[in-house]
Order: sequence, then structure tokens, then C-alpha cells
Amino acid sequence: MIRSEWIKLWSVRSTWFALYVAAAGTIGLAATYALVAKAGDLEPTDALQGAVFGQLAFGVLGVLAVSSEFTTGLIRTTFATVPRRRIVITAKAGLLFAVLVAAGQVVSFAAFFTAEILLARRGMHFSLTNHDLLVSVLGCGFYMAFIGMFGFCVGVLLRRTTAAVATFVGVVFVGMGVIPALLPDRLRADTVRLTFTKVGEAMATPGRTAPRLANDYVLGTGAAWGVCLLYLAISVAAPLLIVTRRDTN
Amino acid sequence: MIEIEDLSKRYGDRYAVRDLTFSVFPGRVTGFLGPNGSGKSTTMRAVLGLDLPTAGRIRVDGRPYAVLERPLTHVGMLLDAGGVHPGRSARQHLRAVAAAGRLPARRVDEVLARVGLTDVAGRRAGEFSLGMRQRLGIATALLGDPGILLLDEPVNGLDPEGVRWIRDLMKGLAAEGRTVFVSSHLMSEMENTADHLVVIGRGRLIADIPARELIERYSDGFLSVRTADPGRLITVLAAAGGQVTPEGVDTIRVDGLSGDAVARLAHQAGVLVLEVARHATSLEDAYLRLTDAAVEYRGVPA
Repeated sequence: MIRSEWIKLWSVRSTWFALYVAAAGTIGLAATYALVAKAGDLEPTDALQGAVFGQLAFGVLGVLAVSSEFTTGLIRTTFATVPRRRIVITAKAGLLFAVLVAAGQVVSFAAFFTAEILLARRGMHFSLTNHDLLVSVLGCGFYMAFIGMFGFCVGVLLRRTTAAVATFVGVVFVGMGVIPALLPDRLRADTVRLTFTKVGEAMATPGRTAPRLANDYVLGTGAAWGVCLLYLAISVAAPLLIVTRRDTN
Repeated sequence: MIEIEDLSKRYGDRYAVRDLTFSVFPGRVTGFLGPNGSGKSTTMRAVLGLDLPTAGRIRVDGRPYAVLERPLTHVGMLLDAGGVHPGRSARQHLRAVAAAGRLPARRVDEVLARVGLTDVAGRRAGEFSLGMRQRLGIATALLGDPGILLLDEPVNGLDPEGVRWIRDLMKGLAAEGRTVFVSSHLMSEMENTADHLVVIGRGRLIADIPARELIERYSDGFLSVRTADPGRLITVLAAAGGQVTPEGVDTIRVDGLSGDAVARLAHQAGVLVLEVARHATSLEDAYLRLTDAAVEYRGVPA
């Protein structure tokens, strides 16, 4: 089953395209940052901000990995071939996650080293061993992989590519920023801390040197990883629960 | 062999299929006929476990589909639209299905050769014509060398050559002793292909009979007889039990008597018969009569 999913994943261009976009966007922004950063207020974790491109590309990849199968009707053949649908979803999710974790780390480290090398040329030196930069880079890559799995979850739930991509982008890049602002003040701080965006920020910035502003609500590193793993578990569990309960048409 | 027993499938408060019972046997082509929206696709998806029945039992080779060991070796399927990602090559598509079905990889090249797609196996399916895509769908269905083939509207939109190819293929597969179950909303597609017909309308079984018998039972074949003396012939034929109606100057329509009987009676009465034409009912006519009451959506004559 994994083999089948492996063939499916790599035999369409969109997979390669998404990974190129993730790499180009994330590494490209790191390079840009390294070239324009002012010596005075260098913040190495800012070099990882291009990960937002990686998140978008990984998310779309996660959506497509499953929605394209529903949209084209191939899912009928797949479920008729393997009537135990949870095996199919588990194989898909497992393979996708493995690929995204690996790709996320490659992209994240590549972005970091690109920035490090370029900054060193300008006489600004820092390395992975500084502060908690290693944790930042690992967290940044892992958060990207999680966002990809969230895309996968939306893809299974909505089944249609356009609807799923729109929903994914709406939730991750718009809703997460807008909804907290609509909540009453006493709820806002906690809600903001738990949004994907802020969880991702908490994971990618333990190596941050400058102090945060008082109204910048961000979880501690360990807590952020915990919340991220919880979200990840939900993103995989929801598809497994729903997939046996509906018709495939 | 497929056994369907009391199958019902409800969507919301509407039954797509209701109390459907029939079996599909090996060694022949069974046509699954019904107007659009009559429940054919629902039934086929239910056989494959894709739609969960509201009630009823379905057995494939004596067992529920879900417990079949390597289902593709029992049932091959071509569902509407073929189900192929347009960005994936024919070979990669087949490799992925074969891997999921735990089928030997050599089957991929075998089925590609069987449907004549070997030369274009590396091309993306999105570049395929409808006919080629249908062949790829058939190749997918044949991957597991299954004893049962489930084909949902396989000739929809195909050119005449493609239609003939699929017909010959279905007959060939049945001749090899396989169970071939093929749905269509057009009777004409089944003419000369199906040995047996299962007809449904509004989700209910209307007929489950050999194709030949359907014609005989629902045919209302009549004779057009041209004669030099219509008045006398009408009397003679009516006396012999025929229903006779004048049609034009020298032509009468005869129901309920064979051409032989008309010729013999005319001869005995000394009436000159100029022409006896038989108007046979086609399978299409028989089917339309059969499903007339069960057509769900119909245009209103202006």
C-alpha cells in the first residue's frame, strides 16, 4: 500500500512543483534577508520567515495528495482495491508526513545555512549552536510539515481540490489572524497563543535574541511543540474517523 | 458471480435503489439497463462496497466484498470517468493500482498490451483521447485477471470503433467464462451484446430475463398486408381470430396472426395478397415499453 502511494505521490508534477516552491520561497527569503539585514539589529530567526512560502506549498501539496484522488474518481478504484479504507488513509498520511518532515527539515536547514553563509560574508557571524537556533530551525521545518498534514486533513474532509485549497488558505493564512481579533479581550491572549500562526512562530523563534513585546502572545517552546503535535494528531485522526462513514461518490 | 439480495439504498428521504434482488452469472454478458437516475450506478458502487447499503446483502463469489482477499483478483471495475489522474502516465497509474492490489508488476505490461496502449504507456493520461482513456480504464479493470467485470456505461461517448472494440472485448471475456456485468441507459448498446438483461426503473427491478425473451414477451409485432380485396380479407382474418384494421386504400394491419397464417387463409379464400410485411419490435422498443412507467424525468411534448 505504501508502495502504491509512493508511486502516486511522485508520478504527478504537482508534488515536485510544490517542493520546488517551498524550497525556492523559503531559501530565497532567507537569502534576501541576509543581504538586506542591518548589522545593528540582526535577528537570525528572521531568516526563517520565508517558511510561510513553505507552509503554503506544503499545505497545497497535502490537499492535492488526497483531493486529486477524489476529484478524478481514482479513489473509487483505490477503495475497491483496498476495502479497508483506514489502511489507505494511514498509508497516505504516513508517507506524506514522512516526506514532509524530511523535506521540511531540508528546506529549513538550507534556508538557515544560506543566511549564515551570506551574513558571514558581510561580517556577521552566528551559528546553529548560538542560543537555541538549532531548536528554531528544527521547529520551523516541523511546523511546515504539520501545516502540510493539516492540508491533507482538509483535503480528505472536503474532497474537492478547489474547495479544499480555498478552505486551507482561508483558515491558515486568514482565519487564524482574523478570528482572535473578534473575540473579547479576556479570551484573546489565549486564543492568539493557540493559533497555528503563533504556534509556528513559537516553534521557529526560540533562538530569538530581542525581547518580545508585552502584547505579543507566544507560547513557550515546549508548549508550542505539544500543541503542534496535538493539532497534528487531530489532523490525522479526523480523516481516519470520517472515511469509513461516507459513500464514495 | 454476483448475488444481490433485497438491496436498498436511501439518500436522505429518497430511495435510489429499493428491494433489489437479482444475480449475475458467469459465462455471459449481463446488461444492466435502466433510464438515467434509475439506480444502476448506485447498485454497482454498492457491489464494490463504495456505497454503504441501507439494507440488503451483496455477495461476490459467495462472500461479502469487504472480506475478499485481494478483491481485484475477483472483480475488475470500470466506473464512470475512468478515474485516472490526468497528470499521471498510463503505466504509473497501473503500477500504483497493481501495488495497492498486491498484484504482480508484470501484469501492468500484460494489460497494456491487451488493450493496445503499450506504445503510449509513458504519456500522461490527460493527453489521451476519450477512447484511449476508456482503454486505460479497461486495462485497470483487467489488472487482477478477475472472474467478474463490472463496467458502468463503458461505451458512453465512444466513437463507433471504440464501441465495437468494447463489445467484442465483453463478448470475449464472457466466452472465457467470466461474469460480465455492464450497465447502460441505452438499449441499442446492448443489442447484439447482452445475453441476459436486468432492467431497473426508479430503483426497482423490472425484468431479469434472457435478452431474446424480452423481445418476445414485449414485442407487439404486427403485419402490414397489401391486398387486392381488403374488404374480404378483413372478414376472413377477423373470423380466424386476428385483430384487423384498415390502413390506407389497399393495406390492412393485422395483429395476432403469423405471416404463414395470413397467407394460408388468403389462399383458401381466393384473395390475392400483394405484400406481407412484418414489423418486428426491436429490443429498443421492448425496453421502452418496459421502462415507460418508470422514467423519472421526461420532457413534456410541446
